[in-house]
Amino acid sequence: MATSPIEVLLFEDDEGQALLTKEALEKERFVVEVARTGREGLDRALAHEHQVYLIDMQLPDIKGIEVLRRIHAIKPGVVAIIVTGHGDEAAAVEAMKLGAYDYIVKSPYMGHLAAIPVVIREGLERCHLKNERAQLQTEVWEQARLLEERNAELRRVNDELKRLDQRKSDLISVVSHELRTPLATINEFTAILSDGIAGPVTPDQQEYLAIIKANVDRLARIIGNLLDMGKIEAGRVLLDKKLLECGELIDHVIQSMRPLAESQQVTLDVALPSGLPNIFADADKITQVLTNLISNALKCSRGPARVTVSVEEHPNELQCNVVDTGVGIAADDIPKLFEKFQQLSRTTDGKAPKGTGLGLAISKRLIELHGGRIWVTSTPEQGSTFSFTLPKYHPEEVFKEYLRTGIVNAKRKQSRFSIIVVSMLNFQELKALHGLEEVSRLLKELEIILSETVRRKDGDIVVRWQRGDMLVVLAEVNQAGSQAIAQRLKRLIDEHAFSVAGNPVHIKLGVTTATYPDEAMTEDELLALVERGLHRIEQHKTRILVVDDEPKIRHFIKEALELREYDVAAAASGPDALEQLKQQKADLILLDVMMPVMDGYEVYHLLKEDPMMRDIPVIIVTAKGERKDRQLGMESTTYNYLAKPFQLEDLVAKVREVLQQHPVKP
Amino acid sequence: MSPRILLLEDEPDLLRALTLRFAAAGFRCTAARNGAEGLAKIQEDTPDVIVTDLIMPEMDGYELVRQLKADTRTASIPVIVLTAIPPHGLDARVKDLQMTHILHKPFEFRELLTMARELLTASPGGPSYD
Repeated sequence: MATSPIEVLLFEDDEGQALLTKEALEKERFVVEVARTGREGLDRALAHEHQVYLIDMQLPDIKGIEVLRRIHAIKPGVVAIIVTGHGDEAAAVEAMKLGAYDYIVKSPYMGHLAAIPVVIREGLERCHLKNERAQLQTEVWEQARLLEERNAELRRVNDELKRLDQRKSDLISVVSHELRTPLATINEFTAILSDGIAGPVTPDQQEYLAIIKANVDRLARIIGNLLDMGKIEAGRVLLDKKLLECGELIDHVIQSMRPLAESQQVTLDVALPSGLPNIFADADKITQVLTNLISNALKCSRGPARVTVSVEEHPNELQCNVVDTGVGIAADDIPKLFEKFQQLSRTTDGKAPKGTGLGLAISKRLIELHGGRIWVTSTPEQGSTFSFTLPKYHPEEVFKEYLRTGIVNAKRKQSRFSIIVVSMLNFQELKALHGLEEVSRLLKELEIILSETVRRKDGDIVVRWQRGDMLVVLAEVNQAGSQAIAQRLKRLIDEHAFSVAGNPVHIKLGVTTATYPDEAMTEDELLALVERGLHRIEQHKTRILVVDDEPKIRHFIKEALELREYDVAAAASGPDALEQLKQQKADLILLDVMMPVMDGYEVYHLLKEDPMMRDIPVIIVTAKGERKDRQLGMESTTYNYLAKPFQLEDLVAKVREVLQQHPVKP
Repeated sequence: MSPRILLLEDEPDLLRALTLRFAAAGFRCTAARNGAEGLAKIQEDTPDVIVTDLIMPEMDGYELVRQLKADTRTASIPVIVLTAIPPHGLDARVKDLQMTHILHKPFEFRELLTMARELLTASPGGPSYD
């Protein structure tokens, strides 16, 4: 606060009051000016900046209230304090409403004089705080306004950039469109001339026409590369990654390059080790890179020469090399090689190289998009080796990518997309019994069966998922289709004889499906759904052992029950059944009576004698008129009949009924 | 009798080149510079095969094909699309209108010719008038 004295303008018509008040204030180091009338005071207020106005309500000319109003009009926000006579508080209240800071009631004994400096100081303090607050408020508003301004500016710049980017894209596409049509016209008329449609052509003319044609082709390539580069730089290149066989891809490129190589007397070799893992990449993009590298190698070689494409497997990546025996590249040129509009600086015959100056730059970006690297080593006059790597894929990545693109494609085509999960439910059990290596081999075998069954249609794919014991089929089919595939797979796998070290192994399968968009709309929902499905299978599947010597019936019952989500095992004879039960208990046994070697009754008695087995409910399957239980002294309460021939519904109903009587213990 | 081909292209030079080349390959050519002109020519004489640009003034290739498909008399005329739009630039109408034969400029005439000949043999009945 100011240390200089506080100036007070006192409106007071009573001379004595004025004097006393002045004295009281001056004692407290205030500077006081006295006005005897309202008019006089207002004139002084206009002439001088006082900090405080002390206004008596009873002035001879203008009412105190009116003075207050005018003071506020000429000095807004100033500290004005009202002095009223005793019993005139109503006027004081009105004054406060008009913005007076405070009021003082005159006391006949002049007791109020001592209060005046205090009230003034408080008023000034309040005024000061109020001003400070207003100042802060203004600053906050100012900051907010600035921020808003900056945001608006950013938005504007952003919009402008977007607009420019869009214009650039439009420009490229318009230019390319505009260039392509005249190019096509030149091409056609060149052909009209060289084909002799317009009349005979001399050999010289034919040669010149070939030059025109070659340059038209080159221009077309440049336009294509410019478009590619523009797309890459705009981040609009999305990889369409698939599992690819490396050798197949390379062979394909080599085949397409062979005519050019032969015309230049260059031998094109491929050196691939066997058993290379698949790559997870965009076939078109990798083909583009390989084509670029091989055509560069051919360009820099003049026959007889050799260009070799080889692949090496490293722990985390595959490395592909394109080796030529051409002119090589000067060390100084190497760093610039992968930049835009750089070209191999010379060729053997000294002619300017006919490139677009973008090929290697595009290749570099495409390889980097795949998470790989590209580089060159070269010795001038001896040749160059261009190499690139592609990281080995993680099954999870493949799965996620296929899942994502599967949904995207289904969305675009308004079709269905299903995932079918095949899980080896007794993976842990088998692993404990036979070791991880053997179980992995079984899984591999399973994967082959799946791949062979499924991959009839493009886009259907088998991949491993998350836990090692699951294989996923991703297919462009609807719900019914996926369930049909699931059943087919289950049957195929059940019929397949898996074995470890010559001994048959039972693979307990869980198969479950989920379909977009009928059952789930997102990747996560699809996954959650199959997880739940598998969980259900693992947790609650009731195991039924079907014992029948007739393969057709055995198979029929098994399949019918499996369709109803039971886990079904089958045995062809009594001893077989008893053996299987020792390996794995069942929750219910369906037992045929008429069997060779050991009939159903004998099996039944053996089961009842075994303390481990005696509680398993049994359904006896007999032909009509075979019921000999009474003679055999069996208690009919402990088992149930199903008479052949039976309907499917009878079988299912009976199974449900018996299982309800004997709830399966978890 | 030599096959009749209708060529639609708004670029007159290219239209002329196409006409010359198809004529040299034994076709009877009719040329049109946009879809509207093309439709009028089809009314005069139904072609066995049509080659059309997509972007043309007055009536573009999409609209032309839409109108052809809507009319039972012209719905079965095979159409080859010849466009400067690159493959990724084509929109959903291509699929909706079942434009399955598409070549992108600059194109190889040999390819265009082969495609036209294949389409001729693929539709032995030719356009139907019933």
